Amino acid sequence: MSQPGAVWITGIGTATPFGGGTAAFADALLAGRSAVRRVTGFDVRDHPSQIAGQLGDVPCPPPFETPAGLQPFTGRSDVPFAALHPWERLVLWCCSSALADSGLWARRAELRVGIVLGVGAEWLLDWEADSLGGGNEVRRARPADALGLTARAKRLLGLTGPASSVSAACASANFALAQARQWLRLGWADVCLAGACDASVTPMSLAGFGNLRALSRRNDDPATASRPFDRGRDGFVMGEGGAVFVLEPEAAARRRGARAYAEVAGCGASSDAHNMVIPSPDPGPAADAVRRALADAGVAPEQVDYVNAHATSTPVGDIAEARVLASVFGPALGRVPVSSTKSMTGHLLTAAAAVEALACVVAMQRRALPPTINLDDPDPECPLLHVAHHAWERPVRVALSNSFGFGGSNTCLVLRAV
Amino acid sequence: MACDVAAHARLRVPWSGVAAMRRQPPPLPAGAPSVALLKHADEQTVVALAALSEAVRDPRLDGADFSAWGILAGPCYPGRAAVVTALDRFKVEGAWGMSPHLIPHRSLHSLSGTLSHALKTHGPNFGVAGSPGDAAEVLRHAAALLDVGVCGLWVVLTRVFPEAEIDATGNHLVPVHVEAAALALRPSPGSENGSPRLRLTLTGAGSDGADRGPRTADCGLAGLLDLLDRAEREGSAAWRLPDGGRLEAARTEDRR
Repeated sequence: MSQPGAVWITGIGTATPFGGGTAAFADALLAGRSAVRRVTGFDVRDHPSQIAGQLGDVPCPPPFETPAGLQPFTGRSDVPFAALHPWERLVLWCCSSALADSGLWARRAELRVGIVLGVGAEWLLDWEADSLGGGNEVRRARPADALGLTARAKRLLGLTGPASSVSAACASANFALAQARQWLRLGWADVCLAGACDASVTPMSLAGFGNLRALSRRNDDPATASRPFDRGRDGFVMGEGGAVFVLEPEAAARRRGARAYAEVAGCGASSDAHNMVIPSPDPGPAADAVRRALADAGVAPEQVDYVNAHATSTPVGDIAEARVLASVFGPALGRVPVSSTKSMTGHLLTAAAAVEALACVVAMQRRALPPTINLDDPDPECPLLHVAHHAWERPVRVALSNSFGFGGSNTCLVLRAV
Repeated sequence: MACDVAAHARLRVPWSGVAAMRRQPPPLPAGAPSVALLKHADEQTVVALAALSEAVRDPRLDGADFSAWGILAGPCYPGRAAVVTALDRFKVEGAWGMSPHLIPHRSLHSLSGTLSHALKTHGPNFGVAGSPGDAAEVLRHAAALLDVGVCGLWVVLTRVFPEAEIDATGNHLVPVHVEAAALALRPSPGSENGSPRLRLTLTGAGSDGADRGPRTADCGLAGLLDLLDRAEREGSAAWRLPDGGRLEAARTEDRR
């Protein structure tokens, strides 16, 4: 059995549509700014949804300023960082800057540093980029020893711990954090990178989600298109970015005097077993995931200071989540502030849970709750204590973040201030 | 970290045989899944469901309640053939020609999600890895989940073999099979219905094992099946994992 013990977040690496680094993300979130714009980079005239929170240029991490050893999907070796696919750049930036932030970059060879990343449509993105660029990789047999994105990142970062990609669609990163915490408790790694990255605003993905009728069509007013819990919501807005955390056992972090951002206090998961795309009308399974996370953290519902909702701005999903929260919080529901930061970032899909865990950390660090913007006309079927339009100043000791995904995956993460 | 293999099944189906299986989902304890469940599913998902249906019928699982079980799935390059045709169609028709089913049904999460739906399991479900040689990675996650109290797990691994070139219409240039293995894992010890067949023990990780002997060459689906076969035949067999850990399979029941 594993050794129970607290696991802390001691480093953060992130890039979002607001730019690289936690400060840019925190400033934008607490100012209530929208990152959603008309999509650039490819022709969207035929797409039902033409807006997204797109990632800008990902900074090149100092260790990768020389191209030696960088080998992208296509197999060409020694290419400059800028020639890698956006999601490869994102992963390397987030991982290396998280390790640097924790003070462990220079020590990574001495430690067993594991890595668990939420990576959803890695091959689809690779094949699409290659094919639309004139290549034919998708039709070729890949070599038996081909490495996936996380394994490539492990090699490029010079890590020696176990490595894995996990995917539960939009719930992926909560699984990554939960599994990484467990790897540490089992002694399989000394330190573990955990999080997720996604750069899916591509011609085919935007068309696929658009044709699924999952996306907002408020193309004329991008900044107001993502409006979770609002009566006028008409679908989600795609976003891009990622966040990777350095997880470390409390005891080890204390020994080296590490800065702690938060404790990964509780994780819970369940499956709807209802539909591949639509959330279950029965709040029971998702509520189980939330209750498990609270129980894992040893926290009662009324002790939660802030809920970062999954709420993507779809007509069905937001109501389903409101029912889940009502089921879990009962009479305390009206006293627990809730917001959906997707109103500002868009929905970062595989990376959503990672970036929303970061939003919870921001709330703890800045003692302020990020708002749900565009919540002009709250849906009466979502009767929650909404943090609407503007951030609320208040201390956060315990934050809860829900993430639900295609395939019926429900996950919940509880973070506790350290 | 040990877990019991309460049952396992494997299936190997020619690519051309998958279409018929898609139209007739196999029976499961939760009832026959709807035909619509597999309509847009990846070929690996279709065969995985059949392997799962076979494993579920193992007498060691008689009366087992799977409702709280989890599902971990490791498909290999899910959706590749479908993406070939989707890309070609997208190039001709643009956004209008993009199927809305590709992302939900041909991604890394799709296999575990579909099986969870079919078997009505409410434990965690997620996909792992997506490349060849990743069985050990899936088992590492399985062991970690069982340690936090998940009462049982289906671990399902799939691949298309051989990994062959595909023509512009989405057909493989050489005959290929879709292979799937389904393993029912429980925390060890503690099987409810008689002895487990095999026990898996996962130890260590993270030192890259450079000075501890050669790593096992094939830690993928075929390698795992070979490991289980050798354990049943010889009593035990072991892998040296790419990350320095060790996976041992050992026979637990009396076969006299």
